[in-house]
Amino acid sequence: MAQDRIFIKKYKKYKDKIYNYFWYRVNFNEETAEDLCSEAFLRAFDKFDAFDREKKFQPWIYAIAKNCLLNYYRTLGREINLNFAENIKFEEKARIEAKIEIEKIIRLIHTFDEYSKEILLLKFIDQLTNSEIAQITKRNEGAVRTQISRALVILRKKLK
Amino acid sequence: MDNLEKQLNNLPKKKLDMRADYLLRFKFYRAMWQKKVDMYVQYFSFKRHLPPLAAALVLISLIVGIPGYAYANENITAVHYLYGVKKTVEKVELALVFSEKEKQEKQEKLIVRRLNEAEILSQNTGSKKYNLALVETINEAMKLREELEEEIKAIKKQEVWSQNFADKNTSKNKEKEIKEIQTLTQIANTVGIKAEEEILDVVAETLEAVKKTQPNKEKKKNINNKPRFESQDITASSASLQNNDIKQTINTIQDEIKKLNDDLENNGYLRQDVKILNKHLEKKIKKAKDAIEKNNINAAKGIINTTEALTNNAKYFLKEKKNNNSKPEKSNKKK
Repeated sequence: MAQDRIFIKKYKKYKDKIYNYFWYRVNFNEETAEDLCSEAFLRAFDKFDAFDREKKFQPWIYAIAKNCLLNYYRTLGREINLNFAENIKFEEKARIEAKIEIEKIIRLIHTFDEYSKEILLLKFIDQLTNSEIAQITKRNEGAVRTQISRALVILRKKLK
Repeated sequence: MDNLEKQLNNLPKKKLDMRADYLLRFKFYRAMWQKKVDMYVQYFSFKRHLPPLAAALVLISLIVGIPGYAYANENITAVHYLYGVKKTVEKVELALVFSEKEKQEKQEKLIVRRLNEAEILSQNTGSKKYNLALVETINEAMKLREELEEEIKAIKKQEVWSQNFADKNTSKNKEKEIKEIQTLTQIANTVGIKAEEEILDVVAETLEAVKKTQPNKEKKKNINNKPRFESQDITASSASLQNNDIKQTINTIQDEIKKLNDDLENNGYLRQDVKILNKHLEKKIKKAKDAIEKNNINAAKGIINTTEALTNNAKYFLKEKKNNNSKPEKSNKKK
């Protein structure tokens, strides 16, 4: 069917983005990220009939991904902790891929509050625009821009 | 864009592992196929087609069942809305018969059916509708009987009628006629003498006609020992002769009615019923006389025939004084 083909196209376009979305938020655990990615897209596939084609696919799939992540945290039985930066354990492979400098930045990002961290990751990892971030986080675009600026200022200070 | 932002933009980004990618695609395609299969299964499913199938079954059963029910059910009489269906099925049945023997059997069967229907209708003669239906049903039975007799006569003339068949047929006919008489007497007893005049006339005439056709019985003569009025047709020249005969017959009938009244009362029939019978007979006599005065000989003949029929079969309409189980005792009392 036509809509199935459309979905497959969308999947090919966004699969890596969503995977990265999960990977940065589940302690860089590849298997967990794959599972969550799979879960998010299967959910999207089931609901694709009801999806309004007039709207953009990206915010929609990110919203589904966010819900899957929240469900994952709930099943783990832990609240979204602001201070688990110290507990981040890079997997060996990820460690090799990320240079030490970058690893430092990632750790610093995870020390931010949830909202700032989310915005920074969406901006620089997921490469979303301010308006798209505003749509996902359900905030004003101006507020998103302001928050990004503030977060960068704090990050620069911490890196110094 | 400053250095920090550049570094942030260069943060490592992973690609979904190929194995995970293909596994996920496999799941998608499997789900798509499942959807298609479900769609086709649903299209051809019994549940989907259940309403139209059920409707078709109901329609077929109605088309096949209603005529069958109407045909087989004896309780469907002339007042029933399915009576037309019943008659149609009977016509079809008769039309599909090709041998003479089978046709006669079917016609006899129809006569019996009509009489049975009349018997059922006679149990509800309170309403005008039922009265009319009763009269029509008995008339139809008579008509069928006359048609059958005509056909038998025609076959006899053609010398197709073999002796063997005639003998067998005679004994069978006897049984049937006895059954018909039994049904008619039952109808007469059910409607009683208080029924409408039309009902009394038709039942009495039919009884008389059936009795007339019984074999090994002398042809029924009128009370004067003269031949009965076989035909209503008279020629102008014999009109006056016929007129005198009729007047004489009427006088004789009146005498016989008096005798009949005594006999009936003495034989244990209700006096009230006998009185009512008497009234009916007197009314008919009067009508016959009026018809003669108006020179309407045919009408007079018809009335006289009816009067004779009622006279000869009066006892079947009357209720006995004692219980039905016990036979009415003959009383020695004479007027």
